[in-house]
Parts: sequence; structure tokens; C-alpha cells
Amino acid sequence: MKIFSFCFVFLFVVSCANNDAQEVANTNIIQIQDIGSLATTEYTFSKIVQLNDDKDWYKIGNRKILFSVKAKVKAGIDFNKVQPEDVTIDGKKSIHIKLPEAEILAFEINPDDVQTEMEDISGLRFEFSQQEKLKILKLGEKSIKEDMGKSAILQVAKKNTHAFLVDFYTNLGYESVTIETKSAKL
Amino acid sequence: MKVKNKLYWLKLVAKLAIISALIGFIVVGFKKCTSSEEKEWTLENHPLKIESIKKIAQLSLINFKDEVVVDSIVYYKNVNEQVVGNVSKIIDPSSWGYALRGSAIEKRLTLIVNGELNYGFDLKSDEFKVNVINDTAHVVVHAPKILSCVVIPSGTSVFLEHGDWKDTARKKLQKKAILKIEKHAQAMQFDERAKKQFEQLLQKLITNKHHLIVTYKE
Repeated sequence: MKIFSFCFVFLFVVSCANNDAQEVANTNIIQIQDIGSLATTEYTFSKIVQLNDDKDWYKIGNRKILFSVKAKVKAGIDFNKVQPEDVTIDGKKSIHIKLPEAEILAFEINPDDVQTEMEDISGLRFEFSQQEKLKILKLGEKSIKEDMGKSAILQVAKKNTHAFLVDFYTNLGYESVTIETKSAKL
Repeated sequence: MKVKNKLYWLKLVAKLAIISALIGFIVVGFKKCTSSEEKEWTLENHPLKIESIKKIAQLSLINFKDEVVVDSIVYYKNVNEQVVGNVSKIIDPSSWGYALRGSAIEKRLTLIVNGELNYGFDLKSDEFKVNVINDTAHVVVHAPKILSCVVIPSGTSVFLEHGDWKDTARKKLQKKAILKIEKHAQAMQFDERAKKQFEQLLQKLITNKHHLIVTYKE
């Protein structure tokens, strides 16, 4: 009887002990911010996100998952970085404007653009929970953000922004529009 | 008699030690086998593909960050289902605690979602026109609107997951979060603020050479 009591207490203590790593929510400030960004280019990227959770020898069976993810990335310029002295009028029909470097302005992954293509669970392994799937998708998101810098999105955004502003100033009656890119201050 | 008593206690301690070690081994083994969440995962390498490139002209003037909680609950339909369901939960290591409480909830999924909304003008639309008459620049533009409301995996966390859930349920909750954030933004009435910002920005771009008249088409 004593042994059973001991076992019960032991099991109770073990089951109540929770050593799981708790995910601490980021403490962002909920805010409304005045911005002034002009997005001129939208790239849609796609990536296969694959995870093989079969590296541990003591786990019996396989656990694999494959997602296809599409991300929309918008790039353009931040008009808040344009100062009044950056816009100069030479004569009556000529204007010169200094613009900041093009930058990534938005990164979107629509919930419908995430598809689970395949899940393979065998042996004594558990199904992927939604929490685990989100964790894998976060890794996928990070990987897309790292790789997208290798594309020409910023160059295309710069070109499109220049074209937009030339149109804008031409409609205002300017015959000559010169656009210069300000080098980023360190 | 004393020796017999001593022997009895020694045997008891030995038995307890063996049982404790066995239970410890089972518990540690079980935890290790189901501990995939605690380890660092590495994704297999796949290339990033460009699906499309679009020319746009979206002027975002207000950025609104919000955090919302979205929840989905499925209840047992009747008492019989509740009893059977709770009994079957006892053998499931992730939900036996709910079985002990005899809960009427079959399953529940709660997400905390951090989203971002951009409000401003779509200058690509046909409504955007710029003309100069004498010294006045006339700008016609469509009324400001929500340009994007974004919820991404890194801004989403699972607060509670009880029971088995399909991906569609998670996506449905994420879309519900987007609607909630949009509703919060609409309640803020960003229109006037966006219009004021737009006019200040235009004035900066056209300098003092022109007067400015902006017409907003509803």
C-alpha cells in the first residue's frame, strides 16, 4: 500500500512539473503611426517549406511535412525621408528631386496562400499540431525574407518609382525631371 | 527480530528505488519521445521562386498595428457524446487533464494574432489625375482606403490547442483576425487623417510653386 502511495505521489509530482519552453509573446507597442511610403513594385515569391523531423535515433518512425507558401513583397520609397530642400526647381520647366534608396515596405503571407502539400507520419510518431505547423511556417517566413534580398526587387522598385514621379511631374507641366538617389547616411 | 526488521526496511528501500528508477525511466523516455517542440528544427533547402512582378502605386499614410485574440470552440452535441469523448481523452497524453474535468468542450483552438494594417491611397487607379490650370495643381484621387491588412506566421501564436484541428480551422481564425483588425481600424476613422497627410505630402512634392486643390472621389 505504501509503495502504491509513493508511486501515486511521484507520478503526481512528475505530471505537474512543466518544463516545456514557454513561447514569450513579443511585447510590441500597439500603435498608429503616420507614414508616407509609396510602394511601386509587388513581387510574389513562392517557396517549398520542407521539414523532416526524423533526426533523433530514439524516435520510432518518420515525421515529415511539406508546405507550399506564397509571399507578396512590396517595395518602394519612404517619402518621409524626402526633405523640402530635396525638391528644387530650376527655371520654369525643370525640376530636380533627390530620393532615398528603395526599400522593402511590406511583407504579406495570405492565410490562403499556405498549403500543406504532404504530411507523412509513421511508427509511434504524433501528428503535427497547429502550434508545430506555425513554428515551421515561421522558419519558412524567415527563409523567404533571407532569400528575397537576392532578387532584383529593389532595383525594379527604384525604376518604377522614378517612372511614377516623372509621370507625376510631367502632368504638372515640367519638361525636364531629374531624379537622383540620396546615398544612405551611416 | 531487530535484524529481520532491518532487512525488511532495506528490502523496502531497494524496491522503492527500483520502482522509482523504472518510473523515472518511463517518464523521461516518454517526454523525450514527444519532445519535438523543444528542439531546434532546420528546414531542407529549397530555392525561392518568383511567381510574378507587378507595377503598383500604393501610397500608405497610416500604419496601424493591432493584436487580437481569435477563438474556435467545438462542444459535444449531447451528454452521451460528452461521456464517451472524455473517456477517450484519458488515453491521449495531451488532453487527459480535460477528461478529468469532464468538460463539455470537445476541442478548442485559440490564437493570439499581431497584425498590421496600411491605410492610404491607390494611385494606380484611373481616378488619380493631376492637372495644372494657371498656378493651381488640381489633383483628383479616390477616397483613402485600407490598402492591406497583414497577418503573418511570425505574428501568430497558439495560446491554446486542445483536440485535433485541421489547417482550414487555423486559416479561418487568421482570416477572422484580419476582419477584426480591419473593424478596429474602421472605428478609428482614419479618413481625415489620411487626407491631411496626403495634402501635406503633395505640397512638399509640388513645392510652393503651385496652389493645391484635391478632390476625393467616393
